[in-house]
Amino acid sequence: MKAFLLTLPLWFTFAIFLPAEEITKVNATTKAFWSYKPLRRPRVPEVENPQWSANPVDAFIYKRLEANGLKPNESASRRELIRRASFGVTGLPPTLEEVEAFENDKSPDAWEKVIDRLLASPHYGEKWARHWLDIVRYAESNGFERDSEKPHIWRYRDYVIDAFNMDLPYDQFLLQQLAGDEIEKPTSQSMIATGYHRLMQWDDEPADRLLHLFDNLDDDLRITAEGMLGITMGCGRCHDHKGDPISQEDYYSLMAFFRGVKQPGKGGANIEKVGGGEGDASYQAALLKHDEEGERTKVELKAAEALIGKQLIKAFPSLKGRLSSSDGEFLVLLGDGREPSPSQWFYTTTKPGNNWSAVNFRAENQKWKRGRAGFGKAGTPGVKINTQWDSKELWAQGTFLLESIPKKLRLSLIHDEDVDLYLNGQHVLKRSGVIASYKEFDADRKFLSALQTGRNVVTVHVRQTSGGQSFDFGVKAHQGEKFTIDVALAMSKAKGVDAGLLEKRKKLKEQIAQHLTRRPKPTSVNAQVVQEHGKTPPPLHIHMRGNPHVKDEAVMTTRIPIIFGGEELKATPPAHGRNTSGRRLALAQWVTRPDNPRTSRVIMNRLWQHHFGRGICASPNDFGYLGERPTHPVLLDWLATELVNKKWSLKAMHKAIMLSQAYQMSSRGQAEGLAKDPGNEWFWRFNMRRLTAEELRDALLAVTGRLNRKMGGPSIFIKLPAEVLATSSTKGGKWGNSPEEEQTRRSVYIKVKRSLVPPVLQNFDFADTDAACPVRFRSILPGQALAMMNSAFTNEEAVNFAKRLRTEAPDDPRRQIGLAIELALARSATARELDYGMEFIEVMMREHKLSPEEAFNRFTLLVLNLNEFFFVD
Amino acid sequence: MNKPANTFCGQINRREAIRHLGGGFTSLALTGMLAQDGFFNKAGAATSYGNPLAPKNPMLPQRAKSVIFLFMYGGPSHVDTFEYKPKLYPLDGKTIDVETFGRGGRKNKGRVVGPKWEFQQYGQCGKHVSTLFPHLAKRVDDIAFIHSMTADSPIHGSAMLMMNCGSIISGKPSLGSWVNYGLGSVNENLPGYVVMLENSGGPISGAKNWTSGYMPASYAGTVFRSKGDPILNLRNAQNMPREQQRTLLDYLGSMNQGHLGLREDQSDLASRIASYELAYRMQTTAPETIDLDSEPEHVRKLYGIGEGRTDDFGRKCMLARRLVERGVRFIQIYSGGAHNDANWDAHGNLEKNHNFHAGNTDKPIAGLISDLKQRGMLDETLIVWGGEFGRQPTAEYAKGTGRDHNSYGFTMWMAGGGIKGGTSYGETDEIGSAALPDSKLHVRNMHATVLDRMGLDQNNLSYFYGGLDQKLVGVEGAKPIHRIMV
Repeated sequence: MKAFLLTLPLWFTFAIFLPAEEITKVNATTKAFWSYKPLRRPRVPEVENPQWSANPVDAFIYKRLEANGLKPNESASRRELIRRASFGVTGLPPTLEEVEAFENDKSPDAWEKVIDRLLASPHYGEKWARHWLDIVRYAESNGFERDSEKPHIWRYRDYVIDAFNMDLPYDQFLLQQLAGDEIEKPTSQSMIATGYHRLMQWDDEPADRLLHLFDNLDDDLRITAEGMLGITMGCGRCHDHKGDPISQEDYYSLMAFFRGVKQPGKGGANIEKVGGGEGDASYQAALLKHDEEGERTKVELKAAEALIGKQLIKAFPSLKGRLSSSDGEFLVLLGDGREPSPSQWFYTTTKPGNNWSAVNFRAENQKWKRGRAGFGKAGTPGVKINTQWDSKELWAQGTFLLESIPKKLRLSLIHDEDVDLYLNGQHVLKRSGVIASYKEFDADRKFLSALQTGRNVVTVHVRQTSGGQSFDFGVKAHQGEKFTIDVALAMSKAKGVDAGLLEKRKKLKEQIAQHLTRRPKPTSVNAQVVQEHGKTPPPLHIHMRGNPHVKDEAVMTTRIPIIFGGEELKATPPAHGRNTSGRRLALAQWVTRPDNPRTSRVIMNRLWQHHFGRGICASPNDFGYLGERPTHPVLLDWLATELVNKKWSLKAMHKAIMLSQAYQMSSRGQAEGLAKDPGNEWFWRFNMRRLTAEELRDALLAVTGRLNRKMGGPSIFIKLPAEVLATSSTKGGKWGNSPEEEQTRRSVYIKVKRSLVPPVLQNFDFADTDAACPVRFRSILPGQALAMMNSAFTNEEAVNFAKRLRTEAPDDPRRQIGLAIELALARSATARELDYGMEFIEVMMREHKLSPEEAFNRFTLLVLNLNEFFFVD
Repeated sequence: MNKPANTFCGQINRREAIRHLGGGFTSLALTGMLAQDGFFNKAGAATSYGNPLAPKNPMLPQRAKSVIFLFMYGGPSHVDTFEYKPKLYPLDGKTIDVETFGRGGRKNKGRVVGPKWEFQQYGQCGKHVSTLFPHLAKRVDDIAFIHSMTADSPIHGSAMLMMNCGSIISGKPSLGSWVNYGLGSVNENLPGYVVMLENSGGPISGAKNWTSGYMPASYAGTVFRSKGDPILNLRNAQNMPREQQRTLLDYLGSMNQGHLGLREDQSDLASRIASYELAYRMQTTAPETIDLDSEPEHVRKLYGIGEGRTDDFGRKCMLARRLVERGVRFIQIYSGGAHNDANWDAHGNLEKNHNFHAGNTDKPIAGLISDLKQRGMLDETLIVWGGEFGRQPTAEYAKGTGRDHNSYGFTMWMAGGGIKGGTSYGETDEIGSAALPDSKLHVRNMHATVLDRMGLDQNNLSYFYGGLDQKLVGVEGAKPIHRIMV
């Protein structure tokens, strides 16, 4: 026990002897604690070393080194630097050309140019998004028995990537995630950002629904408190915090901001079309305008054709009464989706009033949406979809005009699941199930007898259970003995028709065709967004010992913890009318206040952490008494205030950090540093680090030349060993199979399924999917060695690597070896390494009877297993 | 030293947490590296592996060194197996008032399904066992039965997590992770925590059942197969023979030594070099472990190996014994996989389901107990048997014998290290619907018992995460089941 005590950090031995009330109450002591005290811009210390005084970051670092009798390392080599920066900013290795260009660039701003180039790369967002996804325990399934999908949630991942790439100010980034639906003008991006509240595990079949509701709210609250503010709030669910001045009442007051949020749900729950979809008012207006323009041209065309008809009849009187104004064998009354101009329907997906199928029901006055024929969900076979329909039910109304009652009508129909069709209020057609292609048939007596002259109203109710879904219907009249204008013109060689009129007709027809191509498309997408129960969330009480079935009397107000001022933040529902409380916006506005004592400190600590391998505060999600003490609190405050001054630009802060001498230090050991500060607490050297799971896989693919740099979109399924799929309770683990070229995309796009994490990620300390992961483990395990040496993935890539090298340096084994080292390690091979590689290949051939090609495949596998590939200086 | 009143973060957990935090800390554990000449030394010299599973001293007197958890996935019916309810037979077919909660929700009435098997008394203790387990029945004097077990959920997803990880919420480390975290493992060449699954598939939630949660992955379970390649990636994907691999490792090691030459203070580099040697040894040890052909025929027979339906589970049980012999800390074997009747989840035809699963496992489990005993290993091996819950006394549907889930009361049993054989503790009411209040136990008590017998103090074995000293048995702690302990 004695020995154990000695290993405790000094502050800790100190802290445990502080009486509990000192640190769990709001008082002068706790208010003065480094992370609770207000954020102030510190003075930059003066240091005498000119190399370490130009950049404020360096001044702070150097001052502490000096105070501890340490000297900073010299700069790293340019090759080490660019490899460090490339992995650090983009998660990918530099190319040899990039290394050489930097090594040969003698201009004073050579390093700055490298930083600018890397920060401008879209790969920056892919790398840094993953750091954020670790904190918000990003996953695309719900966990538990069915581990069902969270549809469309990948858009949130893309949102985070885009946000980093466009350098969305960090305060906006948080604001949009917390309350992108409650801000004054929500955008599709801000709506997608609220997928933040949808990421947690969710049991569709909980033993105790009320408890699980609060499990979910607790999850949302904890991730927000830990991720954005560096406060561990979990304790407060059952009792006052035992290590921080946070009371149980503080916890529930903070939970009140989230109380209105709906839980995740099955399938379509919390999914909305965002960004000007079919339901969007501006899209509907644009559609109307477009169709009206089209109508005007059609009227002009009809008038022109009427004139042509008159002139034709004048020349050929026998044509009288036998001219049709339309093309083709049939006169289209109600065009289905396949027609060049499908008919316009009115539709709704919410149950209409009882009279919806009546002739006198005017759907256009009932706020039904407009959509062209061919309804359905993308991917449903056979149907031509012009209007997306993916809800359970559909009610639609289409109309056509008849001058007289025809004796025959030709109908077309396709449906995926049950259809009831009414003509002028009479039930004329019933179908159930699925047909996978259009069926054409003559209207039966029932249908024909329901026809009327003038406006005919077709109404339909379609119901969907599962899988694909579609509905389309068309009505055509036989042209009979009539000639179309085209036929009549061809037969008559247009004799007696005004050439100008013909030209006009031709132009109008072209205009109509062109106009069709300009038809506005819905820009909307489906997204998982946050939704609340209404404008006033249910009252929230303190749960005694965290049990939601035992409530205290008092109703919690939306107030921030007392230690941060205890202000009650009044919320008002947004003016745009969304059915939400506005509470999250009130919280978000406090979180993103420039003087919030935590927000800027927490994110700058994370930036530092991912560059230097360790945060200034080594417990990035816990800035409280139970967390670690910061080694450089004043520097952190300087960085935090600088971020606010730089308008929350993270790219500006990356650059400020990377331009420092501290960032550019070598990672080598030095006797004095190792003796006095073996843990590198004072940053006398840069911390060498292992590649993360994603970096390792991405670097491997980059080196072998197979990395597919396509960005964004639905997640990919990489090949998984059968043994791994067999661990699932369902056959094949409901794991998909992406096309070959998709499988080599960056790791951030790999499907994150809670019950089935690919070993290529899992083996190398991928973040847990259920709880915040502020710091990845960096384990070194024999299982990793087995995976690197033996797995199908590394062996296939080794073969691919060898192929690439043979192509790039044909018939020159020595050059192939050199190139392997250059590509994998971003440096030239030494002569000894070349000799060594040649010797290896020779031994493999001589002693193990391998062909030169096989032997070389072994060499490339060896290179991919090198420590130098796996670690960054 | 007494623990100060307000230390929420003392103990090994805190140090553990620090060790895994920022990179600077890892080099605290200098591995005594000698500066190498640089380049062409052969690998293996003076490098050591910083094993996260290095053995640790137990916190308490240790009664068992390894655990074999026989997981009857799906939930076996207690009234048809080990808890004799004579009054239930005559009620067969009658509708009675009884509160139940299962997949079909909460009910107040139900049609009784009388037990479908007869019970007989066995052993010196006179324990009643149903005809489902003719072999196990002969081992009752080695077994302690717990008839008053309860769990927080009667739904597979959350109940599996509860039984394995102590919480109905996902993301907590599993029992095997806690044991390995607390004790380490004595055999570097094998994983410390092994899981064997049924061929029909894994359990619901897959790897979440053997996850290390917020702890490092080194504490997670490794899926082990009793045939073919026991562990993933044990065989080279290009079928590289062992001698070739040795050559490759030698050259790799030398090149890594060259890289290390200038960085000898970086312990992770040395550790990684050594991890390759360990992996190389694992490639021999693991296949050798599963080579059951070397076992004498009479021992194989004991487990039912070679006898059709018991062959598979028999192999796994024998393999478990061999793993225990080799120092593996925690072994979990699943009886049942996938969904529905592929496991003990008898919603439809109870007889068919339980005859099948009991018939597959009875002899192998009895054989395991006998074999451990005859080798003098039973005393230091803790066997746990049970599912995530039990089953209701009433039928789920209007027709048939299927029973819905029951977490209000069910049976588990333990045997071996530190367990009092021939005992029974607790009971459910006379129809088996719920544990009687005075003897009611919770999954946490079972977990506490396992940790205690392994020499770990369940209320102080903690891991600091999310601002809290996390424990398997929860913040409020739990008592072990003293009545079944030696």
